Amino acid sequence: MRAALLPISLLVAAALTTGTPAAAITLAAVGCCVFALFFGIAGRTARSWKFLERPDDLLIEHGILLRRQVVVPYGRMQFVDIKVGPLERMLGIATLQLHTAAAASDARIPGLAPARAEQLRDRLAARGEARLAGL
Amino acid sequence: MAGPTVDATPWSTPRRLHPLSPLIGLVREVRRLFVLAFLIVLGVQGSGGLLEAAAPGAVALLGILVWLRTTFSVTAEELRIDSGVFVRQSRTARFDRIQAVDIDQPLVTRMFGLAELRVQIAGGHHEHFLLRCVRQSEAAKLRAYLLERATGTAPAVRVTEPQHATVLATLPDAASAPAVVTAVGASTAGSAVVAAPPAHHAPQFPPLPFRASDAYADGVPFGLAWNERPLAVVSNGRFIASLLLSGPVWAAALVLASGVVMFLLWGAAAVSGSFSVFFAAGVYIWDRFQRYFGFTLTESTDGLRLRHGLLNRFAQTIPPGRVQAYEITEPLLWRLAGWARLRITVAGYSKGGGRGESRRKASVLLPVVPREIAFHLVTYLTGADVLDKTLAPAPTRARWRVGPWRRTYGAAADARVVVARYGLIARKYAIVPHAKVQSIALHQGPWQRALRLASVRLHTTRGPVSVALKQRDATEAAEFVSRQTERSNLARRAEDAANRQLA
Repeated sequence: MRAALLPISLLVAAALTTGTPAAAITLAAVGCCVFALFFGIAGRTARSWKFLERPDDLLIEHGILLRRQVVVPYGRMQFVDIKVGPLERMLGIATLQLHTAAAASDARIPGLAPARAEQLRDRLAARGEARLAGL
Repeated sequence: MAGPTVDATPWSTPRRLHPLSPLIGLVREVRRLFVLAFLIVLGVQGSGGLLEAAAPGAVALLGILVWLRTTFSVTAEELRIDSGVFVRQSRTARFDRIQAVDIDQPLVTRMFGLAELRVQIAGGHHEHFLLRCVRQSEAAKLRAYLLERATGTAPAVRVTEPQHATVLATLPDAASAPAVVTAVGASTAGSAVVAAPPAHHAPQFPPLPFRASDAYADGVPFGLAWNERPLAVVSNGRFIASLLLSGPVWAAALVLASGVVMFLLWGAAAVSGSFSVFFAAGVYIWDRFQRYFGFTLTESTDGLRLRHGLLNRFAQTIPPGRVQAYEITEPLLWRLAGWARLRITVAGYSKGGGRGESRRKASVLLPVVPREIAFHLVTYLTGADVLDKTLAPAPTRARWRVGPWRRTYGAAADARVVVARYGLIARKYAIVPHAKVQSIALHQGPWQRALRLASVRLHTTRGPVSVALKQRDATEAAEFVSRQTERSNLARRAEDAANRQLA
């Protein structure tokens, strides 16, 4: 959704500064279309996030155009935390972030219901503790 | 190993660093201020004065306060440093979190027979512990103790009899017993304690897979400890030649030369504005030259030991099993001579290990060696034959995506490691043991999907080595991910079991 902010704000600015009402209406219509397009893409992107708890590791998949799949073994999880930003709090969702010793791992699951995120965190933490290995 | 062999009682009560440390700190600060003042004077002509005069006094006072308030001690489980003049801070490092121990000797410190001891820790924000200014012999003893407590995974090297305890426990000071000291001099960074044990106590090293004489043409490196043997020495001639064949060095030399020409043609005014650029170019060349001069790599029961440096000397010890990944780089010009550079990722050094160097610099295992030696060394250290591995190339259709780079991509995996090759100008081989893989990612962009390609990344701890299997066949890549997950799980379990047995 963040990607949509720039074109839409540009269109709004253009609509406000043009003199003729016809041009303003056209620009507003284009703005609505862009918004709808991005909203659709954002929805599909959000739905593309999938995760699967396997016996030894967690599998996370996401992306439509750029597909990414991450496998994080439970034994490699150093800690798991839940992040809730201001916008996320308003919408009642939370992001689960998994940390390994590798910074590149970037394993997270956004858009979870807070209760479910907590359950998942506790489950993952318990599994990680059972299998945690040295570096 | 049966208990620690170095007596830790001298450090059981909190101790201060060497009393000379405020003085050395002052010299260091003044030198830094001098360089700064020099740049300012040349840059804007004039100014300064009071600040430059008052600063050293303030720094000296602060240095004495810092020294008075800084103590370190070794407890049963950890190394502890208490410091802070106004805000007290107590930091502890558990032995099993130690990733490597360095003994560095910057020129000034070295002139006073002192050394800096640095303990690299994995995780956390402060990733290293620094003991500035301890006596050389004490630093070496403390290092031996810490390394012994920081047992990594099962080492390839085993001490035949653990009864060498008495030998090490009564290690003489370098000064007091010169008879048993084989090589001690002002130039021996962190190798002051060198005692010769009875011959039957010497560790049994497995045979090297390559002729040591090739790697080791320049005679015995300085200050070998009794439990140590050389692996590779970089001869000075080859080292200097490698600098002459290095692109970045040429670029810096060009910058410097243009500065000199400008100075000669138009005088000081022409160069004063961009003086810092020329200065930086000069510093870069000098640093490249002096930092890796006289590089030796040895192997001991404590792990791999690196020693290098012309004026500032560095000695770095990495316990066995702490290397996360290897990278062999063959830059374009070096390929003419058949040379390569060997880099490693060690967990504690992610930000350069606090040695005033970037993380790429802190990670050099060998700055320049014949490529066969580099491959043989990785083979020896990982136990997997890297040189003889036939790398599977990327599919032909990948040329539509990456052009001439396709031919450089290759990957292979065996029972112990994954090898990935890439790079057109500087050819790179990344090697990671299965047990060191933290997580695995599969990427596929729209172009790749159209061509049925995908890329796989193996994540290791933060460091210079990145392991990427680029542009593989999509089904092959997916299969690789699932098989690699399994392999890594198995290898990690095996390593953990070995660790538990050792502990």
